[in-house]
Amino acid sequence: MSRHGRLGRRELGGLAIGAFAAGALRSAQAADATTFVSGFGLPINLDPHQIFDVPMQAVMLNAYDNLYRYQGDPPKIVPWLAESHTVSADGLTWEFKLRSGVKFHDGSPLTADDVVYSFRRMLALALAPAGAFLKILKPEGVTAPEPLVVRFKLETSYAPFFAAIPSISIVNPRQIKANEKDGDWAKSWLASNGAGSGSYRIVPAGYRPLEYLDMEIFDGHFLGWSDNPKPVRKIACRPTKESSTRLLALLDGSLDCTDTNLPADQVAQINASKIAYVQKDVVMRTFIIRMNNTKPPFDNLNARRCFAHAFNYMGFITDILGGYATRDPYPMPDTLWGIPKDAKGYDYDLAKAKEYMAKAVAEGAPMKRPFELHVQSENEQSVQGAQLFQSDLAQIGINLKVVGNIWSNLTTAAAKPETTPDMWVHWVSTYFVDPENWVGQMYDSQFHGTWKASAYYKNPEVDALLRKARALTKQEERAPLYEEAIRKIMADSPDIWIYNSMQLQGLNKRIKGRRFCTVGQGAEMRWVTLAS
Amino acid sequence: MMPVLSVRGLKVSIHTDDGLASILDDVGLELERGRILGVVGESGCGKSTLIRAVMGILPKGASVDGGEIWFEGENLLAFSEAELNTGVRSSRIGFIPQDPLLALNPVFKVGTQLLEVMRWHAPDDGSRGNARRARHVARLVSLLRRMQVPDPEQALESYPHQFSGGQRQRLLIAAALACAPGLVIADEPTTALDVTTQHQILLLLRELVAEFGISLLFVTHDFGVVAELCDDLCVIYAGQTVETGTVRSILDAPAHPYTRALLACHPDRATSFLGIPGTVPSPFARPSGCLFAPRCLDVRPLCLSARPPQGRSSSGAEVRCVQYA
Amino acid sequence: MLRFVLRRVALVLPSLAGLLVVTFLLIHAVPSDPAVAMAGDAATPEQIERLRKQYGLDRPIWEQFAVYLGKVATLDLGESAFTRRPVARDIVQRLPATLELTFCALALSVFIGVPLGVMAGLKHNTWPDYLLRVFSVLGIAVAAFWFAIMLQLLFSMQLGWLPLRGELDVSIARPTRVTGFLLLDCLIAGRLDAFADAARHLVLPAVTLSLGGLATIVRFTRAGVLDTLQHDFVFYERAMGYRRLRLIWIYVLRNSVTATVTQIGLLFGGLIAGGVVVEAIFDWPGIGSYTVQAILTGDRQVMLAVTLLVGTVYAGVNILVDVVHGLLDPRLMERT
Repeated sequence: MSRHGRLGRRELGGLAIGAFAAGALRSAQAADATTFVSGFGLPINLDPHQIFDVPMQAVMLNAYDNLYRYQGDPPKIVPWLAESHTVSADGLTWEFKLRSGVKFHDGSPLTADDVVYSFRRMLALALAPAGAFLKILKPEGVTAPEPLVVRFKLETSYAPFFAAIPSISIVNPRQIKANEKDGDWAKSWLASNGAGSGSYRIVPAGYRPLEYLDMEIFDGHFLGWSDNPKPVRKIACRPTKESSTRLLALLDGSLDCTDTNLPADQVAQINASKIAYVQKDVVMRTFIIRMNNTKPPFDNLNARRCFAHAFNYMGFITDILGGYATRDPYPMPDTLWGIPKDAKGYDYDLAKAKEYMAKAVAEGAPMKRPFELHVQSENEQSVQGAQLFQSDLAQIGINLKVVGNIWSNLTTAAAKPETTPDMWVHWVSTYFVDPENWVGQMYDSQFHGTWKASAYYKNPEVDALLRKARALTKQEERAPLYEEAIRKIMADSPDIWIYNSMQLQGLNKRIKGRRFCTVGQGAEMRWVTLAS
Repeated sequence: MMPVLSVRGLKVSIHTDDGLASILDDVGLELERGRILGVVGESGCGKSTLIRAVMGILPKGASVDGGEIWFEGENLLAFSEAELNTGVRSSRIGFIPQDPLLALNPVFKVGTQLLEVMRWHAPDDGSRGNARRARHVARLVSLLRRMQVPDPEQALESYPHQFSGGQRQRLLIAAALACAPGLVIADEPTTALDVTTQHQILLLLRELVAEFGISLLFVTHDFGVVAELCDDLCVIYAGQTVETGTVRSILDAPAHPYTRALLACHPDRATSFLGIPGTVPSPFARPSGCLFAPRCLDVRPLCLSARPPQGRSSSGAEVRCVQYA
Repeated sequence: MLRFVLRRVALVLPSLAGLLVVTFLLIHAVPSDPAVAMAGDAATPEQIERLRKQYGLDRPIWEQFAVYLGKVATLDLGESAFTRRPVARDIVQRLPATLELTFCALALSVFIGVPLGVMAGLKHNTWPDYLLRVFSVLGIAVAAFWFAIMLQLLFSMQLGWLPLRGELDVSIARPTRVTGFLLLDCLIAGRLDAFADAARHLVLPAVTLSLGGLATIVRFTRAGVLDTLQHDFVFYERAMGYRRLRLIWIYVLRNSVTATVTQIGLLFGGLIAGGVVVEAIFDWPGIGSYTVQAILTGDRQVMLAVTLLVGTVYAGVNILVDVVHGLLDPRLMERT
């Protein structure tokens, strides 16, 4: 809407702030050089076995440790609590050798039994992070044959198992058991407390769900602090809710970093300030318009191709996103392995769209019926993208209605093909760095019923390829299978793949030593130093 | 002897959106010490404005354009608002309003309201603080007892709506007397009451005048009340005094045609129930001659051309009518 | 007096029960499955089905309602499916912040609005009155959002007098929680530094929130004063020589604020609603964002609890308004 004159709230705020920022802004607050005020969003609670989303990464990467961890950009999986691992030839038995001398925040040593307990707890709760494990791992399949060795016996061979290992935080069973009620694995308690071994410890008194969270340094962390002699001693998470307040707080020095969804229109303003700048990082987060392949005319290939050619990809990226995204025509991030080099995506070409439309009509596809595209109404840029699509479709005679909705309604609707909208918009973030996170779970028909698979795409050849790739453990063996699957998927055009995200984050210039990784989006704090 | 209150040639006009309205044109009266002067006239003739002018509380836009108001030898028109408020109202001039229900503040206890008045205006007897307040309470209780208000202590703790009309009027009379003023102005205080209560109140007022040594200016439209209560009388028509004299003389031999017409309308001696034909002339357009001429049954050519002079009737009343010139 | 209050309370209870039924039905009419949201992003259909069973979401709606009523009757508001904390605990943690903000805003509206309204009434149809009338129209029309940014820009960014957002500076340790009201807790703990900082944080959100109420209070007080000045007793009191200031600020005012007090009761609902925006702008940790989050995630326990709670607070405030009415004007108390 705001593209066409009417001033939205943010534009209004932006104007006002711009007017003032032109004048002399007050010099930065005398900020404490050991306290980092973080603007990362907070997860809905603090239990890493209950919640597994982007905000949770900012908590678990700091307060907990895991066996392996993603580090660097592009992300590499590196040993963390584990020193090394082995896998049997059949891909069913995995053994992790733990470091010795690791201590939890309460001072007790971290052993293989604690890792076993953590995995069993995760499986018993069977919540978000368990998604990758429930089908392949039974609680009794995790054992500790030696004090510092953890053994996993998988039910079936599953290559993404290793990629998903970093998603499980190791918790302290002694703290958990002390706070258990009626065999609830202390999920009520851990939701507002910490029981980890990470570089920072959660201060329960400094926590109010979704509002604020304080973490303080854990001097006894197993990595020691010799690699960062002047670390942040206190992380004060103070997420902002309004985009204008976030901007002002960054500019006035009272916020060290924004969250990672900075709107493009604030970039220039922040970069013009003395105190802060905008960091751009390519992340693995794809933006997709889903099509419900079970609903005519989306069961028709030509119809789907018609829609895929009618979206103005570059117009959207350039004009609406300010260029802060990369065109990604594939069903996964273009930086990930497994994408065929010869694959060519769909381009914006209304003439082609018309041709495909004519073919579809000839085949009896009901192209003239009104269509609905559901978007999360709080996301202005998605709404604008949907409106752009609407106007292009109107040019070729397709009537699209843009429907604002909320995430929980959309995921509920997407659980059944009958209730899934004609089209809807969402991102697929990195839960683990593996093609399984994208094409594996999006286009294997066994996942029908989850929102990730809400295209309800079914191609037996693709199913076979994805299942075979999942069962192998070596990347060089898996890659060709994914390439082949993706070729077929792209030919079938089940969805409209639009871009891979560029993360924009406002950072205070006093931040030094930040390390970025797409998993966690730069929220891991142990290397950060604040210059005075 | 010097009159307590003497009003001479008082002119009051008011600026309104419709123009300048002349409310009082030429009002004169004299109230002798210890006497009761009735001021009589139809509604709209300027009685209220007269009271307001004496108390210095004219409505917005109104101003005194001429005349004098002498009170106990002092020119009230020369007093500032602050001087009137601190030194005259309540302490020297008591006031009894027309409608006892509307005049009391509905959301405060009677005692609170009466003590508020006494706090600022009761004669200084040297006591301060709680002692002073206690003396005020005591005086109020004795006054209310004198006014025949049952259970005076309780009355002070009650709210206005908890009293009957007659009781309320007794409260207000007590209030008017609380600070021992020399002059009390009563604005139709019995109009809102039933006949029996009205009679009791009038009797009470009569007694109080002697008992408290006050002079009473009593404004009414009712000749019956005047006959029962007053010593002297001043008849006002359209902002002018038309006849003044003792009650006896005027009631026995009303001189001015307006006085005669008013008396003729009174139910006690009515010859007709039609009232006086016609209406009071508009304050925006007063006739050039006698203001009563358009309604006068005895009108003469001279009446229409010039303001009538003051004359004296055979019974000794001052009359503004050509017949007595 | 006690009977008066008890009667009011008795009248409120059925309304709250009705509110509960309507809210329950409305929430269940929303096609959002809390089990899906609860299970999280990477959940499988089996995981979702398990949660649905676990939380009784597969039961018929009347059964779910009966279970819920039984719990509410024992003051158990259930557990938030998302924060995994008892809803009552979440709310007890947050509500004081919202109430603190709301009451301060209300106090500002009243202590500034009533005098301004009285002055506008006294200066009826003169330039101060016109000015105040323009202001009170603006106060209602100006978006809290815009006003808040202006305040932030001026007082936080330009002058640096007041903090931009939040409830307490990160460098200041929180006082021990006793009442949950931060200002009170600071005082109880004898932490004057924290009290001063908390008070400074409260200023901008409270001023923002007070704006709409301020305008309403000015308008109603002005109208009340104009109406009261027409009454005979004002003339009588002048004639009796009441001191002018006391006449206006005690005797006239008390008669004039009846309508204003009614408005205060109504405003309170508006303030709690308006608080959602203000809390978001100033990152005020009250129930506003908690509720918004609950709606976005379809957290039924929280939505129900907040509705019930806000309904109760609202009813409570309006009972209080009735009592204040009764105290201001004894005639009202007797009529009931």
